[in-house]
Amino acid sequence: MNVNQKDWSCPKKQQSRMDTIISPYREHFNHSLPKQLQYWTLCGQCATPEGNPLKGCELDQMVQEGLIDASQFHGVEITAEIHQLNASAWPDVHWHNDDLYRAMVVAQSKGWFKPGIVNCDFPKTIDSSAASCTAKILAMLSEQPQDIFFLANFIVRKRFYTSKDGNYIIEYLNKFPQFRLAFSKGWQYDGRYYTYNGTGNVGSRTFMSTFIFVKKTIQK
Amino acid sequence: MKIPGFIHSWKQTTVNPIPDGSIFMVLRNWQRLAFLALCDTTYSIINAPMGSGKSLLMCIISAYRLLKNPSLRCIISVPQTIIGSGFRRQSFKLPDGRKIDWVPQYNFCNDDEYPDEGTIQGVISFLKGPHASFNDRILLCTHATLVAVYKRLKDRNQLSLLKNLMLWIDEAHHVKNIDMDVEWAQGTYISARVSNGIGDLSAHFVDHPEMNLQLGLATASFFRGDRCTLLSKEMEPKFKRFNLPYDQYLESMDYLRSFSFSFRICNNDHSKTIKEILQTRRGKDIIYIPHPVSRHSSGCKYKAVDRIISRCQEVYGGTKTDEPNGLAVLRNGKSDYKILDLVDEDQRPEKKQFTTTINDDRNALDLIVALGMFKEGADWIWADRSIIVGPRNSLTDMIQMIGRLFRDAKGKKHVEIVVLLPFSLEHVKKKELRDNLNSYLKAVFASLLLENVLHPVKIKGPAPSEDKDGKKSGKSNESHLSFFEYVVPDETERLKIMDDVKDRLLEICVKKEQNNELGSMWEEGKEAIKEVLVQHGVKERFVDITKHIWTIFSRRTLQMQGLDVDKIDFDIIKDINPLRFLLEYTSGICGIKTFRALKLAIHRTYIDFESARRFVHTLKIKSHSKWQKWCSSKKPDDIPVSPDCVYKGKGWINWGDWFGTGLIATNFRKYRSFEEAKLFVQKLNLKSWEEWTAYAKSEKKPKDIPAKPQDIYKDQWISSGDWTGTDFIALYKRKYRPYDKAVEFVHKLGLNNIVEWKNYCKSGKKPKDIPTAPDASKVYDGKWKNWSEWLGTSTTPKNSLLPIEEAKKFVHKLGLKSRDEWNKYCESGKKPINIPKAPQNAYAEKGWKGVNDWLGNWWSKDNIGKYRSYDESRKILRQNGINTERKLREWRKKNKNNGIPSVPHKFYKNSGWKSWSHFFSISEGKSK
Repeated sequence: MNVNQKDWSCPKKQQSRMDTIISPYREHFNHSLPKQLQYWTLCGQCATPEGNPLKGCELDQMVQEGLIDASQFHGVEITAEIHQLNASAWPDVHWHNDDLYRAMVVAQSKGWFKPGIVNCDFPKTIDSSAASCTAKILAMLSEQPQDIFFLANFIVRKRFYTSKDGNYIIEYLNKFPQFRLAFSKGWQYDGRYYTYNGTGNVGSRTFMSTFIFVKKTIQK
Repeated sequence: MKIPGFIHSWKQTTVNPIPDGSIFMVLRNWQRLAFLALCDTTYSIINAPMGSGKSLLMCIISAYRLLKNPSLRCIISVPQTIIGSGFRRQSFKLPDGRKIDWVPQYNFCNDDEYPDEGTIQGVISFLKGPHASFNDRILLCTHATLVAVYKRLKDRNQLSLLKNLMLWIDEAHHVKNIDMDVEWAQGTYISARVSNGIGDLSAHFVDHPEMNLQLGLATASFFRGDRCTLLSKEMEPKFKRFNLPYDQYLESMDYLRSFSFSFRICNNDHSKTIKEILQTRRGKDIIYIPHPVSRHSSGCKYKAVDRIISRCQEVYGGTKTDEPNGLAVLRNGKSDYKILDLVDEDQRPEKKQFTTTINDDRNALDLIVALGMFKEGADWIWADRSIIVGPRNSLTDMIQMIGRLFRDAKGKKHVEIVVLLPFSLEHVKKKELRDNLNSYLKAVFASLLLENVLHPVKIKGPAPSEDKDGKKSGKSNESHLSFFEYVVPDETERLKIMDDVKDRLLEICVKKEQNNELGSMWEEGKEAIKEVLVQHGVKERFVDITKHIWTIFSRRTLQMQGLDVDKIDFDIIKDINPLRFLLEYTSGICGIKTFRALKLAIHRTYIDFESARRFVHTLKIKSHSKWQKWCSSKKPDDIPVSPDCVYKGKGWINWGDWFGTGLIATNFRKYRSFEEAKLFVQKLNLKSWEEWTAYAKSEKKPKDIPAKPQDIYKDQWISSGDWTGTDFIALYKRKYRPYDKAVEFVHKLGLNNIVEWKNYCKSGKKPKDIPTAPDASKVYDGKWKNWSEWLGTSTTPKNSLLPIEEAKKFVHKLGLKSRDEWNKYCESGKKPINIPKAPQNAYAEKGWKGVNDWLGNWWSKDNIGKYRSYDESRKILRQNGINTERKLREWRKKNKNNGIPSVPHKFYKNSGWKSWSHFFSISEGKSK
């Protein structure tokens, strides 16, 4: 098992996180995530192959930027090896070896689910299961009483795949009753989407797009 | 921050998310009654017509129970994914006013929501839980998925996952659970429940109430159409049933007021008749064409559709164009005629997508042509005419087809069902003519039953009432009731009774005709119906039920006289010949005007059972499939295709007896007890499972010993070794001594290496609970370390390895030339333990330079492309006794990587070459 498949600490990824998570969250809500709320993410690898903390990974960046404390971070990873690596590198952080939706369902069933930011960084196109997963998560989060900042990141361009734009993505999501239900329960779409060309230190032909959705209990 | 090769930008969308403006539906009157009746029952049946709102009712009952019990989960199972759309999104109010947004989080009926792990594993994950919200406890899937899940859980002994679960089976006429009495030995009958996959699952739910399993069945017709029952006799009383009759449903409609059901006789080119029907009015039509193998089909379904479209063109004009959405449109400049051809498989996804939009606009579509599709679950509210080409054997199938019309829509007042019955008098052979007439009359007869489903006959009389326990009491009220349905609630059984009554009434008609008695046949008919009822186990209300059945038969005759059965007193009805309409129909098409002629024309006469069986034995047919094949080609007229029906009570035993094989269907065989059978098998002294299977295939095996004992005795089954007496147990099933105790035992043996361990294992002294391969996976998972610890040798093999140089010195002496030779040497058992078998791993970072270096071949990594010096080459040749050029060539072929050039006289020209004699160390003909 190659546990070093992507460099999630590359400058592109860091820049995109700054542009799509940290800055917009501060625009919509506060400078930092309130202490009682949690940061849930499909984080990928946050450790070096040797099991040491990876500088510039999502967790490191969010903590360094002062958005969250490490204890607020809930990293979800379905690959057991990567999960173990993350857990060994950051032993004091919450790690979940599951898919994001299931991990959140488990947390909710145990009564300690308090999400404030949810980052669904799907390594998938919208036409795959990413759309249904987004819709399901949004529907589930609708039942939470607090403010929530939700990001969904999809592949919009790659080899052998016709490029898609933001309109296509939203139209596609509109087909899901869970998505429409969420929007009748107070979710709002930011209206804009952020596109960037993948990860890595050289130019990439894979383009990603990030969509921001917010649920505010009190309109600002 | 400047990032190389990074492109990023913010963009704006013009499309926005659509919030669902939820309108919360409230229960209709019948749904409210059904809810009150079924909301707290464990096993429920909803029997209501298509389009009446069963899906919503199921959602409402489920929501009520899910809210009441937070640990309960709900699965709704549908036969086809398209039917699942009815359960995808609902907003409704419970009777207590609570608002519910029903959006199942697990919808495996939608292509876009299939789980990555697959639908079967997806359902299993759902069953494992946990669950978060209300909607997270609801799952939608198909019957096929659910059956596969059940099978997998059963195979893996995980049926305990089926707990706290409410299962709704939509279109439950797919469920099959039938009790069969089968004679397995002379004079002895056993009763067995025969189920299909979904039937087996439903039986599991009924058999395990302790797991908090709830089951609901929903269907428009509580019969399957193949004379099999949905629920066994044991299961049925446990269910509470709510029935919404068609007439009540039709009365509740806002727009639809009437329906008509008629026949049209046509020849084999039915498209002409379709044209005539289309000319009567422009409607919203569904045409169901017959299956290509049907004798009513032209044989090619595509040509059949083309002919229909041509007829449409003749009626409505226009030029045909094919649209990207799958429609064929006849463009005539005024109002286009839009046809959806569901027979042609081309553009299936586009057509499927189009069908989801056809209810939005009445003008979206004019005609659907279908074969097997667009029946259950399909919805086109604007459809007002159904043309069914050729009769159908299954009443359920017919009900599903005409059910598409019974959807209320603005402006739709009347719906029309026309069955086209291809009939031709051109048949020369009597048999073909009879088959033709038979299927025609069968369709006519089926229409009686169908009409009774849509518009049930009700006889005025004292109604039975029920006390609080649901038991019938002696009190009675005067009411219009369907006594037949009350006393015989099982539709399948009612259909069988009707079929038998028809035969008896026809016999009476013939007898009366022969005796020139033209008066009423009520008295004889009454007795005949009573006899049939008794045969079918009916014990009460003979008079009421007889009146009921008589009226059902008479309705068509009355209709022909312009009379409405609802408005006529039974005293008049009883004087009517209930089969008169059959004569009316047949006189028009083939001039049959008497019951006698009718019976002769349609009834076969068969030879007696004994003679028929004797004849069949001579055919040496061994299976039912071969019997059917023979029937379709060579069967004489006087031998029945279904001897089990024709000779029932006249000597019929079973198919094995009929064919003369004596075989009994696997389900009905009775075997010796497990212990007795095992004892018998062990006495055979078989050495392996393979020997058992060979024996089981031979004719020596007694019939009461099963060939697959692991299936028959699955509850008692231990292992194949236990069965044959060899005590062999499959590796994965073996139970070994705990690791620590096993290690303790092995240490006492004082073995030094693996070779000694293997020899010990082969010696037969090893106890069975000590594994031969303790390092194999699943034997000592997580505990196994290495062989050194297992054998108790003082040092681990890795530490005791010789240094590479010493090891190489040893290996070089062996004179091995290749990796194969090295492997063979390792397997020989001669290799010392301190020399590794896989030196490339052991010395990977300790000076490993490749196999050639290890074996002492010249071309190791250091010597690639290099040759030996002149003197060194001479030494090698001398050592190997090579003294001629030919010997050198042959030796080089056998010994690759030898470091001696192929042309030494050129290679060593400037580095010591003297002569060939010198090179071969030959001096005056002698080797040095």
